Amino acid sequence: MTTGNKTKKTEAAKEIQIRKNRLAEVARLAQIFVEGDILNNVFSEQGNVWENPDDIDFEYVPFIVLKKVVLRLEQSAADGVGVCVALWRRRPDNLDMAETVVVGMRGSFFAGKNMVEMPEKMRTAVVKERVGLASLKGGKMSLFAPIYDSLGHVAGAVEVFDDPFRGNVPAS
Amino acid sequence: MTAVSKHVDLPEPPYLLSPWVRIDPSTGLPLEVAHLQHVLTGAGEIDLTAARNEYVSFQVIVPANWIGPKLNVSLSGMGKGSAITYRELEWFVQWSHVHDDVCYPDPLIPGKLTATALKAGLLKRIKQPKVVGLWIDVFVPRQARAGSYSGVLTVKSGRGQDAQLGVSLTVHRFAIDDECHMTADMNAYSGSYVNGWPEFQGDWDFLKKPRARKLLQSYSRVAHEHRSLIHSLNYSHSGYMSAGFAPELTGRGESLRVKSWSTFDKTWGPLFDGSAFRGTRRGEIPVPYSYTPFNFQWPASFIHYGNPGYYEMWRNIAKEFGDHAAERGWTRTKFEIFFNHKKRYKFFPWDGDETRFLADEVIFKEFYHEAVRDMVARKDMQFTYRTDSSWSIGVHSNDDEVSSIFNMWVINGSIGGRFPKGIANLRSKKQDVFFYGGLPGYNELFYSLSRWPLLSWMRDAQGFTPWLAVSGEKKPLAAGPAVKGRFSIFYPGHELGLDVPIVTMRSKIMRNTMQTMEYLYLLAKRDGGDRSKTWKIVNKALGTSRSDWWGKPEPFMKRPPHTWQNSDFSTAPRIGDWSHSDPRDFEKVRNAAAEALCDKKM
Repeated sequence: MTTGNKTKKTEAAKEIQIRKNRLAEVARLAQIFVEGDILNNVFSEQGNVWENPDDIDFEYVPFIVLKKVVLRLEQSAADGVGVCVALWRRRPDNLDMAETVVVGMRGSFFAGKNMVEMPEKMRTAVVKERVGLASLKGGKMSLFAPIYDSLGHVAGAVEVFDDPFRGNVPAS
Repeated sequence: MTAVSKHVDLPEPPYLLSPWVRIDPSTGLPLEVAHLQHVLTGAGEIDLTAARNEYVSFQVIVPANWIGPKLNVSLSGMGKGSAITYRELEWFVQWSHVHDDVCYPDPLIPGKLTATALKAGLLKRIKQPKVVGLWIDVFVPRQARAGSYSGVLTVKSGRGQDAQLGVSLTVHRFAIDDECHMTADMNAYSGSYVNGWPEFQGDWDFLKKPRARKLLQSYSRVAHEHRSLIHSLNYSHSGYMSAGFAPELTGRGESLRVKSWSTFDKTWGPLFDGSAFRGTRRGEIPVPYSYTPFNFQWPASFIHYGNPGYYEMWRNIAKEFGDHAAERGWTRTKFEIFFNHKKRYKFFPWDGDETRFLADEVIFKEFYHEAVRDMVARKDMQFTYRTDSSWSIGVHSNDDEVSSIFNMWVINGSIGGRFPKGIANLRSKKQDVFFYGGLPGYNELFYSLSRWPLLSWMRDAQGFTPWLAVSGEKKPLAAGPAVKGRFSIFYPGHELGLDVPIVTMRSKIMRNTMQTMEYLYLLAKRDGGDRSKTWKIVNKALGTSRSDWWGKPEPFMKRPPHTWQNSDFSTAPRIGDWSHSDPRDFEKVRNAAAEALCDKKM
């Protein structure tokens, strides 16, 4: 390996580490600011175990509280580089399935409107209670971390991922 | 002579044919043969009728080996009184989708671009084409004199073959307006029909490029000429917008203001002042409706929702938007305040679009009282408060607050048709009503395209909305069999080496139908806008009755909408049975309306 290539490789590794740290920092903030008890109460009673997306229904107050937190978390990333945040839960009727609960400006890398089989790194977060980091297509990265409620139980997970695109997001 | 059915009488090509029936180029036989209820005749001459200021269409079916780079079509001898010169002839070569060994002609290649499209494989998909259809449009100018004319359509292959075919045209004494009095509202999202072109894919700032803006406007020009509107939502479900879909903002809170209108104005301004349509037959008529960037996340971030600054920012930017529109003379377009957000995507807690849980309607009322009421009260430009609401139309059949705050309702055609009282309630308040549904695919009878405008007319609506009619599919021609054209009434030309959007036979049929809507409008105008007499004319022509246009609420529809299940809908009877229609049936409406317009007693 030439010196030039070695330098490039070292710089790339540094860049990846910076990005990992950035995602981890936002996840750490999410663990502080997202109340698991609120996350547990976002779906309305009748919309809690929806089967058809038409049936999805929320309690407005907890949803709005968390939405604002998620948007602020997205703005919190250091050096102005975009990160995206989504809050997840396990499906109460099938713990191997998962779905987003509240998302920021970009949704999620793993789910849209539907429930999905729990992403592997989310399982790391909610079962093993560790941070799970995934490398995605196009050099993007995604990180899951557990969110706890006041009883110390895992209420769900926060997904933090690289912004897939930038645009005309309003001033805050 | 081809005779596959007692209802088919086609000669050897070349011959002239009605626009309502398509010929499969691989067999030379009509695709709609099973639906023909009277004889389909092809011949060396054709009789046409038209109003002044109207396109009239037909087809020429030619042997496939006539198609070459020098193919040419011309029309001569129509007579001075008709005012029809060579400029009034537009011709196209039909391109076919192929699946299940059936060829479905739909996209239309402008005649002058045939050579380019041939190089890109215009006919390659068809293994052994026998014939190819040409679509012919003749525009009858407003200055034409009523009367009968005849001329000769000459087709030259450029390879030694040619044909001279007879065209007879009766021009009615009435003219249709340049304006459309019903809106064919082709729904689209975020300019994706431009963003899907290879040079702009993955470029979120594509509207900053002049070529992208020009392309976007060229789609709208094509739609305008086909009496339809491309209606593209500015924002995504999150409220995110690429540059150019909203003016650029600066500042925060009560200091938030527009920093630059530049890209927004360059992109959309020509549609709002009509200048994008300069040189078209219909002229510089601004688009009648437009979405706006206003949503739950713009101009104020949802971070501030519930705090005083949130609506302060909304009001301030709404005022700037209104002032800018008035200053620019954008006074004929209705600028919609519409919330397309859906709970299922988890961005916001309410269904702004298709509200199923009635409690969600609280947000409509809140926005109305905080900001929208003052916006729609402006007299120097037009804001309109829009809702797309099917689940709840029955609930709002009575005179409640929600049915009063909106100015525009877009309603599922099947559900809305079961609540005539609700529709009448909205219309009594002068609210605009549109019915929405899917765009018929190229494998469906052309008559199904005509049904949308006709159904909207018969239900006293102002327009109809085919959902996702102009999509961002990257290769819609190649994707043909998968979606059957249901997301593309216009196609990007790049797959055939063309740098312009291309029209379809469906868009031509839709335009022709919209022209007939203008006949009905002229008739209703005689009665001060009352459509009642025209409904009788349509029903008499088609042998239909009120039950073909309106249904009754199903028992489950008396329950709160959030309890309705998909299975409830699957057992609900359809309104009107059109499956046995002859593809040419719509002509009966056109002829009856023309006859009524020419009848001085009416």
